[in-house]
Amino acid sequence: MTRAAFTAALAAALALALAFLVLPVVAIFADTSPGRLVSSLDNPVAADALWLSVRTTLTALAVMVVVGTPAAYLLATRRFPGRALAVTALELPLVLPPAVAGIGLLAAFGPRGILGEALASAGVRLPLTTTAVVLALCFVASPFYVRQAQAAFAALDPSLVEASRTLGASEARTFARVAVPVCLPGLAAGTGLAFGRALGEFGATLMFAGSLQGVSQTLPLAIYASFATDFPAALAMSALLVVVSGALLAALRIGGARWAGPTGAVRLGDDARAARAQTAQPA
Amino acid sequence: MLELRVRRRLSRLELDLALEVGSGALALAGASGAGKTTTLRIAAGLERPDSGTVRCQGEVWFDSRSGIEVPPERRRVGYVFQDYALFPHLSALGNVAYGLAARPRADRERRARALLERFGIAHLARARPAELSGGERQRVALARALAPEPRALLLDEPLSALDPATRGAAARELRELLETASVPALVVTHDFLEAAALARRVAVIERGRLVQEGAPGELVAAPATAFVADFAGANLLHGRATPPPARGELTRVALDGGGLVASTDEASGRVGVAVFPWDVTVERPDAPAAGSQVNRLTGRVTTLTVLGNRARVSVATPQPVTAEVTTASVERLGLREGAAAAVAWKATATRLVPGA
Repeated sequence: MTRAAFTAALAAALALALAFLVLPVVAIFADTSPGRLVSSLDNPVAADALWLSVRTTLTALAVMVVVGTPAAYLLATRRFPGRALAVTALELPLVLPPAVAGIGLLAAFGPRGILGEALASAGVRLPLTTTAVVLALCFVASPFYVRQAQAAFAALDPSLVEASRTLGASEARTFARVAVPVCLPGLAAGTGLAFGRALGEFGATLMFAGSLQGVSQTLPLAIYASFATDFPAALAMSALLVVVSGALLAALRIGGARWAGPTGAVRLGDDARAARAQTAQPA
Repeated sequence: MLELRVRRRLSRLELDLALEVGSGALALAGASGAGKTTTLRIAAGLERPDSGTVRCQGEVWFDSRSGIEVPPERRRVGYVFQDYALFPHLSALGNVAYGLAARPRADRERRARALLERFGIAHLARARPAELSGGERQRVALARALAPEPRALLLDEPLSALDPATRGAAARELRELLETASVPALVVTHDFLEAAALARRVAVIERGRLVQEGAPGELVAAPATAFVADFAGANLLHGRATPPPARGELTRVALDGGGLVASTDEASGRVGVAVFPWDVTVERPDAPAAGSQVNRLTGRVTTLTVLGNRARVSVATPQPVTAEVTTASVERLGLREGAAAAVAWKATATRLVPGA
């Protein structure tokens, strides 16, 4: 194949992929004017669902970051028996079908689950609550964050950590003042991935938390619930979801670029260390 | 005083070392993989020896018998990493202030600024490491290491990340710094001239063991092993250079204590004159100057060290110049300690290096 023909083939593949991926998104907006988008918020089902989605997703993200960051740091920086097993176990939810995740959550935390009795005696009832939504989101989305955070920490130059130690900083202080800030672009990328996964989460939430308006009916569930009865409303809510996700993606991109700063697009040969620290993580 | 008496099994060799570093710098020199950096890391607490002790200024940092191990953050050493390991997310000022966390905020900033001032980079206080040149980065790394008033300085190949153009000036500054810092300093280097330029004493390690320790001149004059002989390549004489008066002429160096030598290198002011022993010929003092050796000095043989079929002959000119000759030549010329001799070498074999 000549070079021109090969380039044409590559371009055709890209065009096909773009067309296929963009068309459905465009189609959503083709039928939804901006005015309709705004007025869809007057629909109590949509407004409740949007608010619930934002609330649960942000809560789940906070939990993932607070627990996942130190866990990822441990996995990235220490060698211990069972480490490989722990990594695999943490990544398992990535490949689990959401329905399986929902069943698993019920079997663990449901009234007849392993922890059901303990939870019940503590007065906690999870299924069909907002907390259950957060749990479901954490379950399906946290592996995205932990994986990315672990990769970011693993790419951290160990001599930065050592320099911090010789300068009087304890391991904990080094984690907070050097490891996290230097790896922030990678951590932000992980947060973005987890956010995307959590915002779109459907199956596990439906099975574990149900679909109660204002309690556990997130935007994807509301879309599903209304698409048979009120397709235009479902379209409007879908458009809302696209706008929210798109805004987040853009914010992360801009924030990441700003953090890396004017020196972020590093002169590679000039400062291989900073370059490695800042480009190793896909931002 | 920094004292190390440590053993550590490494993948390819066993480190077994006893070192004492007084105030003033000791250069720890050797081939790559000889265990130099490991030694430095053990002193800093970044690596743990299998057995032994590490002590600094009367304080025990490590003792395998009593199970004492002070973590790196409580040793207060100033460690300069080979590629400086500056924090990429902090400005130069932030890097220098990092080790001052225990002090009040105003104090912290004042001291960090004063250090940047001292290293001539105050105008770069807000720059991130990626925006700095190699030489500037080295200064930030030194300032950062000195900021918390360390009890010992540990420097890992502090000049190797610099380009040759800035290395000379950096070496001069660093030597001055190490001489005025009143704490023990251990400088790792794989380059003998660098060791000689930075420290008054050089310890050579070979596959994890200390083989010789002494002033640079002593190592050149009387190397203990063949490795030291090859490694401690150059004589280093001190003097003052006068630049060539015209194009095509030579730089003249008036040696401290007497003697004039010429070099094809250009320099002016205080310089070190480096010449390799194998480039120096030994002659009878009354032999007529023949051949192309421009530099010829006479004196008495102070030491004569035989290493197999070669011998190191050191002649006080009055600065000692060591020549490496065959043992056959030693016999032919009747060389012995106390005998008069002349040493000669070419101006093209005379390297001028920055030196005090």
